Amino acid sequence: MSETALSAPDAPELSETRKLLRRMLGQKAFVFGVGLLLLFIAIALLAPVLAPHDPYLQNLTARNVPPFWYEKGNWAHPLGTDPLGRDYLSRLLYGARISLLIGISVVIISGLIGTTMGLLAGYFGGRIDMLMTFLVTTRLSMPVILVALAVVAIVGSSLWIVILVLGLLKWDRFAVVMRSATQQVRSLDYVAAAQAAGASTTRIILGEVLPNIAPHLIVVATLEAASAILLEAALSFLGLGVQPPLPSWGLMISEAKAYMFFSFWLIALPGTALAVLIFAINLAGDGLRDVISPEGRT
Amino acid sequence: MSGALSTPNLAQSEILLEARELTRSFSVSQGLFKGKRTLHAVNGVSLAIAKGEVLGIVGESGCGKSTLARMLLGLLPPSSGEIALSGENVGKLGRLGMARRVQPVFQDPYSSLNPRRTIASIVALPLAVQGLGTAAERRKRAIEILEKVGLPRRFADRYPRELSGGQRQRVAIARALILNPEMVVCDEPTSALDVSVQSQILNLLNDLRSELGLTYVFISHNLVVVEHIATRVAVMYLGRVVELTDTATLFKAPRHPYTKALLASVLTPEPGKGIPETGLGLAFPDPLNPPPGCPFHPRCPAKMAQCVTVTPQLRQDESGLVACHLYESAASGATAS
Repeated sequence: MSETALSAPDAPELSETRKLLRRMLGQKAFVFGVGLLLLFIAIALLAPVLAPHDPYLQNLTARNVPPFWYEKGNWAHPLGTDPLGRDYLSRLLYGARISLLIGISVVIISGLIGTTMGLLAGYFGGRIDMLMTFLVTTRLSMPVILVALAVVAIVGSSLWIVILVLGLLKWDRFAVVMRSATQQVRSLDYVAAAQAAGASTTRIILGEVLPNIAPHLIVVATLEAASAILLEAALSFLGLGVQPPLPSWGLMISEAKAYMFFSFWLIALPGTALAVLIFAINLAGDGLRDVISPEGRT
Repeated sequence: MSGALSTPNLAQSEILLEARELTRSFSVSQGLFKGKRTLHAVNGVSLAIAKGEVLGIVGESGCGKSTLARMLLGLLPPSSGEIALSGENVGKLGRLGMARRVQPVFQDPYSSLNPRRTIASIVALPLAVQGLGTAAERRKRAIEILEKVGLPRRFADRYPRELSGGQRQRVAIARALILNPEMVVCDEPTSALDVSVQSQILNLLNDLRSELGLTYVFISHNLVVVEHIATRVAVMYLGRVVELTDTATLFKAPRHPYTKALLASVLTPEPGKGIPETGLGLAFPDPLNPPPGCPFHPRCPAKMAQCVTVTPQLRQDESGLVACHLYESAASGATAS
C-alpha cells in the first residue's frame, strides 16, 4: 500500500456482467423488444407442440372458417381456416419458423461476406479498398428483387435458394459500415501499439479491431435480419420465394389477396405477425446498440 | 555528409541507435485531375543515440516529429535512409526482434489502450505476441510490471475506461516495458495529461530509466518538459534537424534563429510578462511547397542573401550541431555541398 495516491478506497464494485445486465434492464424499449423476439423464437421452436392442427392438412369441409370473434367462428380453429381448409393458427405458428430461419441464415451468410470485405478494405485501404468500393457499387446497382427473379427463373425456387440468393446479395451494408468503422479504429494508437509489439495483421484485425467494431456489426445484423425477412415476404408474395405449401407469411398474404374483401383476416393476420416481428427486431437492435457501445458506458 | 555525427561526449559511450539520412515522403492526392504531389515529412535526418541517454526532439506541429518516431519504431518504413540498432540494420531484426528492443509510449492514453481488453491483458499483449510464457505466467509478469509503474494489482482486471488519464499512461508505460526493451520512444507522453499528472509521469519515466538502464527518444513540443528530462535535444523544422546539442547548452545559448524563437515563446507563470512575442509571424510554411534554400528563411530575423538559395547543412562545431549559414564562416570553407 505504498502507492497511496492511487489506492484510494473504491466503492463496492459490480462485476462486468452485472453492470451490463443492469444497463440492459434500464432500457424499457430494449427489454420489450427482446421480450417480443424471445416470444417469436419460442413460438418457432415450439410450433409442433403449440399448433392445434397439422399446418398442411387440408379439410374441404371446413373452408374459410372465420376466427373465433366472428359469429360463425369456432374454437376448433381459433383463427379460422384458409380457402383450402387449413388451420390458420397452425400455419401462422409454423410461419414464424420460416421467417426466423431466413432472417438468421441470411445474416450469417451476408455478415460473413460483408464483414470480411469491410475489415480488409478498411484496414489495408489503397487498392483493396478501391476494389471493395467497386464491388459494393456494382452490387448496389442491381436491385435484389430483379436478381432474385433471374436466379429463380434459371434454377427454380426453394427456401434454401431464397436464403442463398439473399445472403449473397445483402452484404453491401455490412461491408460499408464495417469498412468505415475499421478505418476509424485502425488509426487509433492501440493498433499502432500492437504493431509495435510485433503482432501479425491477422492478430490485430481479430484481436484489436473486430472486438471494437462488434457493436456496429450487431446493429447492422439486426437491421439486415429484419430487411431479409421482409424481402422473403415480398419475394414469396410475388411467387418467386418460398413455394406452396410451406406456410411463409408472405406467401399466405399472397394466397389471400383474392379473398381480401371477403375474408379480411386472411391478409391481416400474417401481415400483423410480420409487422410485429420486424418491430421487435428493430427495437432489440436499437436498444442493444445503446447498451453495448463503449461511449455509453459509465 | 552522413559521417562525423557523434559529438565528443557521445564517442565514448556505445551508440544504441543510428539513423542515417532518413527520409519519408508521402504522395498527397490533390483531387481527381490534378495528380499527386510529394510531401517530405522527414527530410534527410541523421541521428545517433547513445545507450542510456534521453534524446529530446522538439519542433512545432507538422515538422515531422511523429513521422520520425514511427520510423524509429519500425511502424513506418523510411522512403530512403536506414536505421541501425547496435550497428545492425533493423531490416534484419524482423518484426518480433525489433519489438523486443524498441517500444512506444503514445501521446493519447485514451486511444492507446484497447477499450475491450482488461488492463492485465493489455500489458501482457507484447508477451502473448512474442509467444512467451503461459497465460498465467504472462498475467503474473503483467501484475509485477504494473506494480513497478505504481498501479496496485487490483487494477489488473479493470477496463481502461475505469482509469484516469495518468493511470492509463502508467498502463501504457507498463506495456512498453514488459519486454525489457533497450529503448522507449515516447511521442508526447505527457501532453494529453493534466498539468498535475504530467510531472508524476515524467518522474516515473526518469526513475524507470535509471533503474532499468533505458534509453529514451522523447518527443515533445513542450520545451519545459524536454529541459526537465532530456540529455540532448534535437530541434526539427520542416522535416530537418536544424540544431542538435546537449540540453544545458541549448537552453543557455541557443544558436539557430528558430531555436531562439522557440525558447522565447515559452510561457512563464508571471502574468506581468505578458504573452511572449516570437517574431516568427503566423505562417508555418506549406510542407508541400517548402521554400528554396534554408527552409526557415521566410520567417528568419537574421536572413542573408545566400539563405534564399543555399540549403545549410548540419555542421559540427565545438558546441554541437547546427544547420545555419550564420555559423558557417567559423567552420572551414562555407561552401554548400
